[in-house]
Amino acid sequence: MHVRRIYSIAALNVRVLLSDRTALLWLLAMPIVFTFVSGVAFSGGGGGGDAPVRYALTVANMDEGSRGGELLDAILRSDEIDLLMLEGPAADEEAQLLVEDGDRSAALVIPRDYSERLAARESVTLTFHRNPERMNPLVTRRAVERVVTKLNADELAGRAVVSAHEAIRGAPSAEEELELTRAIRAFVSAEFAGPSTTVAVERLGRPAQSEAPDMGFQHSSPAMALMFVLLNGLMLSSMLVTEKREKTLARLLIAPVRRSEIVAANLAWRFIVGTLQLWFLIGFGALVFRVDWGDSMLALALVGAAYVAAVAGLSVLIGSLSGNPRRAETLSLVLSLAMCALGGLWWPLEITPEAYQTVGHLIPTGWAMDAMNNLLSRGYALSGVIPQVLVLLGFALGFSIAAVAAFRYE
Amino acid sequence: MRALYIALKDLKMRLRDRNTLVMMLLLPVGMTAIIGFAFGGESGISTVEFLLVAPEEGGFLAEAAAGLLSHHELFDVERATEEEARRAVAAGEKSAAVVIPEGLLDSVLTGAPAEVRVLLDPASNIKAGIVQSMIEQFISYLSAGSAVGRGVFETLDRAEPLGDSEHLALWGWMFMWMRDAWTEPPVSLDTSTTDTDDLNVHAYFAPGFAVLFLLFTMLASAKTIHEERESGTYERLMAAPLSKTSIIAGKMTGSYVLAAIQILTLIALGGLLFGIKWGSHPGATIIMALVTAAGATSLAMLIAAAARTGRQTDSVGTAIILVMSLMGGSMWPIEQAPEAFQRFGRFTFNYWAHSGFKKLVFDDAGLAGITQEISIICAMSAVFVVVAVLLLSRRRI
Repeated sequence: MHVRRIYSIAALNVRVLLSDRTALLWLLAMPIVFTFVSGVAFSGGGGGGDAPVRYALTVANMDEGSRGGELLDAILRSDEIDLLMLEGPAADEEAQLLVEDGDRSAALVIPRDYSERLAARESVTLTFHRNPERMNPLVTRRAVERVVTKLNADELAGRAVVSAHEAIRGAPSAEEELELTRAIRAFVSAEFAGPSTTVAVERLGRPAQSEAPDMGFQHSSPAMALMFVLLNGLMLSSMLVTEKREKTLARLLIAPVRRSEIVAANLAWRFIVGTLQLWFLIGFGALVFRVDWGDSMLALALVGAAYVAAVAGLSVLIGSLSGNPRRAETLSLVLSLAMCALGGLWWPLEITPEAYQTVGHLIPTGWAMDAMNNLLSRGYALSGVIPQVLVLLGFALGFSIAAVAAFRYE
Repeated sequence: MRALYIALKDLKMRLRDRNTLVMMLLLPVGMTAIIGFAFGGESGISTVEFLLVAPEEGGFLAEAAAGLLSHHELFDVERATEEEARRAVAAGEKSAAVVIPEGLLDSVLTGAPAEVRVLLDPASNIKAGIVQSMIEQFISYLSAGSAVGRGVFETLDRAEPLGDSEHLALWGWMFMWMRDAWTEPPVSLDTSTTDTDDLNVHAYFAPGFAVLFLLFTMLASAKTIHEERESGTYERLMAAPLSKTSIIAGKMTGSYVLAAIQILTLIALGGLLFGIKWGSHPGATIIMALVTAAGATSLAMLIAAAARTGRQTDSVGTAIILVMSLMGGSMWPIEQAPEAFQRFGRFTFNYWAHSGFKKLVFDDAGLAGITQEISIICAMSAVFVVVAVLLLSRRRI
């Protein structure tokens, strides 16, 4: 195999492609737009990762006493969520309708007899309407639940100390009851302010970075980079078909170029374009979206190279198998979309069923995303992505061999 | 009449093309099937596997935590040493591990400080978050019970020091009282989830993908305006007794009929393959489909009219369609995005088309319930068509 001849064909194709403004739109601009839009969408506002998102909770306070207002004050003091108050005699029904219609994510309804039942030491139920299509209610419900747990502890403490007094020392006088209740509530409040049992969360993997990356972009940048390298790489398959149809490949028959050299050149220029695109997106992600690409650039380079090689192999294979450019484009689009969805580029594989995860690992995208997770999130070095790199190289080899076998000049 | 011939010719050509059929039907159905496989299959979400590291002493609290989570089929809890847990979580084999400290029981009984540690796999944002949330909730209940129990001893002892027999009696009383009190707390939070039983993942995503691929089909169809010119067939058309208006009208009519066929077929396939119930108002569903077809046709025609070549129509049009689909919720549940993001989405055709179909499917809305969506799409279509016709009539197609 003559490297010089391969280089000539590859360099020509790279030059032709990079001088095309439409190609540049898809290679560079579109991935950035997609990374930005999906990053903003999943970061909960597009702000820095250290800025907590505040969700709003719709509230219908139907309580005829004062305890409902105290509960809402406590929720506001927790400083986790904002309250959107509904007024009027039918506010409870309005709240439910707003959630059912999808206009609000969640609503809390405090019943009319809330204060009355608490005063009578009877149980009372708050209703939390949630729209199952949205994630916000998971956050707002937890915030309400924390306040309710504290409220229950306050209420039960007052009742417990009086009942305990009755059980072992007889019924307390009204004055004693007041004093006991005040004292135990002060104790419980102090306990909640500084609980003896705490929960510490330790995220394993990479040590905390000085500048926390935005979690939305931290996921969207690698996923969109892999997606657009795949999409553009496979779409390039149509160029090989066009060359066949326009007989420019057949002309090479009279040139001193072997079939394997033509396939190698086609693989090479797709590999060069894919690599340039990937590193442009990695650089842009790091500089503009503050994406932390891990501690090992060498490992990232190897993963990127193996993935781009697999995509290049598949692209030449599709080009070799397709009879016309439109068929190649359609097949490329079908394969790209399916591989993105199945490989975990659009949503994490961890939330899908086992069978789905198995299918996701029958294609290159599943392995590439695993490698990205190992590098970016878990902070692995090169040794931590060797299996993924080997599998991706296996795909590259398999596709390339198949492409050579399927290649025809016309 | 002449315009109809052009429409019929275009329609025949498109329907004979296998690539068009793949784009029209196979891709939207395939993507809906994949989404269903991911989120709506009978096997459901894979289990949340986490490890529990607990000491021998006070282990019953760890068992209580494990028992609480094991009740839910979503969780799969295994015991491990801390070393094993750290290795498994760091390697991504488990989403999380919960380390119960030696002095947890002492902390609950006496208020001595204790720290429960939750180790999370950094690559697991969802499952690890679920474990963290459940453990925080458990510890919050435990702390509340502990505060009340210790508060009773503390308060009574301060009022009048407790004797040994009172201490013992109080323990016995406390155990029984606490058990009953927390079974039915003074205030409980009842969650009412709307439509959970009827939530069909296919039904949510099918309209989105139908709109997305409808736009792609329409773009390919609108592109024929340029293809006619580029291949020289436009010159032949101009040689025939046809006005430019007839050619444009013919192109639009052909595209619209193709769009109507596609969206109605996808609705039928959605019902047959995925069991989607498109509401109990077939008239409203058909009108929504026809209005959506008009919106997609006019938008694609506008893109083609604004583009200079077929290639430009393809590349710029595809970019516009993908961005609009992302912003408008055709590819993912936009409801989970921040409010500001959703407000931008409302400027897209995709948002209103998806919204109309969702109301038909999930709210069983009739025609009155989707008036807003239909009006907005009709208004958008009118603007798109007028601008497209103006652009096309001013230039040589």
